[in-house]
Amino acid sequence: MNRLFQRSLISTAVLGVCLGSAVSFASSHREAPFITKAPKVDGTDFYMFRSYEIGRENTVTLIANYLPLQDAYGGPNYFDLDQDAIYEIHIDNSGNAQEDITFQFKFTDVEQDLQLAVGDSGATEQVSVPLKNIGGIGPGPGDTGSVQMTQTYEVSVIRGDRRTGTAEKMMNTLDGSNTFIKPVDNIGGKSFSDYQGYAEEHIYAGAFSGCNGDVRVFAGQRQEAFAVNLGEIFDLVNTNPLGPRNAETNDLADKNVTSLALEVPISCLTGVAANSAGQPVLGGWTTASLRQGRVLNPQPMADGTGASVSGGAYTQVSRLGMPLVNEVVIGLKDKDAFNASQPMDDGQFATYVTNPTLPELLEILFAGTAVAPNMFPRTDLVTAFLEGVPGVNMPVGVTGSEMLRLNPAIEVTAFGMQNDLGVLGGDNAGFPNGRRPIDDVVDASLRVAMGALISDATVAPNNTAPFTDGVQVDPANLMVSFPYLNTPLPGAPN
Amino acid sequence: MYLVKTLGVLALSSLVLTGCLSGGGGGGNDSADGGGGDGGGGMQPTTFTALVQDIFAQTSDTAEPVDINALDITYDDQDNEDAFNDLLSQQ
Repeated sequence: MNRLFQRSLISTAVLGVCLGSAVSFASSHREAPFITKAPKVDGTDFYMFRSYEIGRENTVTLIANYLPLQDAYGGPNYFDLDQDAIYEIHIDNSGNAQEDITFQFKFTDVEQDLQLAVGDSGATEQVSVPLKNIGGIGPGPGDTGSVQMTQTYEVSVIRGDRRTGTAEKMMNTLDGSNTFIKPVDNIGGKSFSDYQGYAEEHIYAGAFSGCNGDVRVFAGQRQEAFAVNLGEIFDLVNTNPLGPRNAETNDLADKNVTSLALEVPISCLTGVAANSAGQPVLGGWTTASLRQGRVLNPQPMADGTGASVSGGAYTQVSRLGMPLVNEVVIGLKDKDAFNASQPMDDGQFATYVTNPTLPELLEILFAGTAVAPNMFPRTDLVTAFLEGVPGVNMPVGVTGSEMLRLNPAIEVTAFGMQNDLGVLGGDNAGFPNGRRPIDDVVDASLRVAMGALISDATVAPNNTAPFTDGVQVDPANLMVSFPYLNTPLPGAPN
Repeated sequence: MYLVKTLGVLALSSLVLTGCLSGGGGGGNDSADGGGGDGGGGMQPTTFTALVQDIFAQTSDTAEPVDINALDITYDDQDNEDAFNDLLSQQ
């Protein structure tokens, strides 16, 4: 089949623009024009895997990361999430491309104006301080008397439609309330004597009706787990795509991110969706939504109306299931639309999957080395991104739609034995059967895009080529227990 | 052994993609207040100020967003800092 495109019109500058939007900091970060204006609701990565912490193998871990590219020293406000937003993790356990269960996180700012008496003796004035904290923090969640701004959150469990379904608030079994506390970001070693221990105190046991078993929840700052050779990728893939897998620099090595993490018994998530062997299959994705209207206040008042007011219905502005979809699959003009869309409407984006541009771009940039598969439509990518792997995580009768899919019946691979190429590397507990923090989704996706799922080498000459961005996730930067992502880097190391 | 190699060539008949060419967005229902839900063929005129007031009036945890694609919006009050004082005073 002839491929019709005018190579002569694709200048180096145009390619630079295309690739600049194609690959970004994380698997989906600042990838769409609108979301660059709203970093607090920018979903960067979504992980879903059968828990590999010893003794927790009967649970599934869900991790949604938001607010990318956190430099640890980013004071004085650091990286609170948006209390005017809702952050959601959706589960489709019926295979019909619609959510059956939604875990909705809603944050609340807790402010206390800390003041110091300043002035001559007998004539002091109480003056508000400019810093996040004026003393040590911790060791427990309640030890924040020196902090001016903290956050609490609630988790609603919604069955059915995410807006009109049956909702209940998850109970914090520690005190019977519906409130959980988000740890203050890792300001540094003088503010925290033991940040790791402090953060661990914010791992809560939760409960909701219809679920018997231990549920754990955590929301807070963690070290960025995604690894990518960002600078060179942006520079027209200025690297050897067939070079060593770990010869380049991880440009995210000094970043933090904010994680919303849940550990839920498998039995509390599964439904009727099952593969051809009768094993359950879960679909998952994360979204964030803002109120549709926002009015700026030209005269913000500390004790009155703040800098803005929001109103209207919640409007989705971020969506992430499978990694890298909005990064390297969806065209620039449709990235905002994708972020606002739902899996049940993914037919509108089908052409981006059946006729992908990334392989063509690689072929142009690496003429003579990279050869794009000559098969259209790319039914292999439809399977990878929209349906699941047959016999593994493809539900019988699946409604094609973009989301991460997990077969929780497949045994976990112990942390030290995990193959970061996942299924491509013979490790069926890894990507694209869900996604674990160790999984190198960039290398896996590059190889799949260039035909790794196409057995006929005459159709896909690069189907065994070991494409790579040259960076792997360092397992030393991960944990073997919930919430699996490492303690965040401190703003000051002392 | 790569399980994915068993995929081979997939029949198109097995491919089921849902969704027509909807506008995407947060849901399938238009909250037609001020929008094009009246069934008319043209764009429905409105002012930006009125649109914002309508959106705020529909504040709800269960509501669907207002579809603005069918609106012909006139940007009034571009120099009026007091245009939304009533909304600011409600907070």
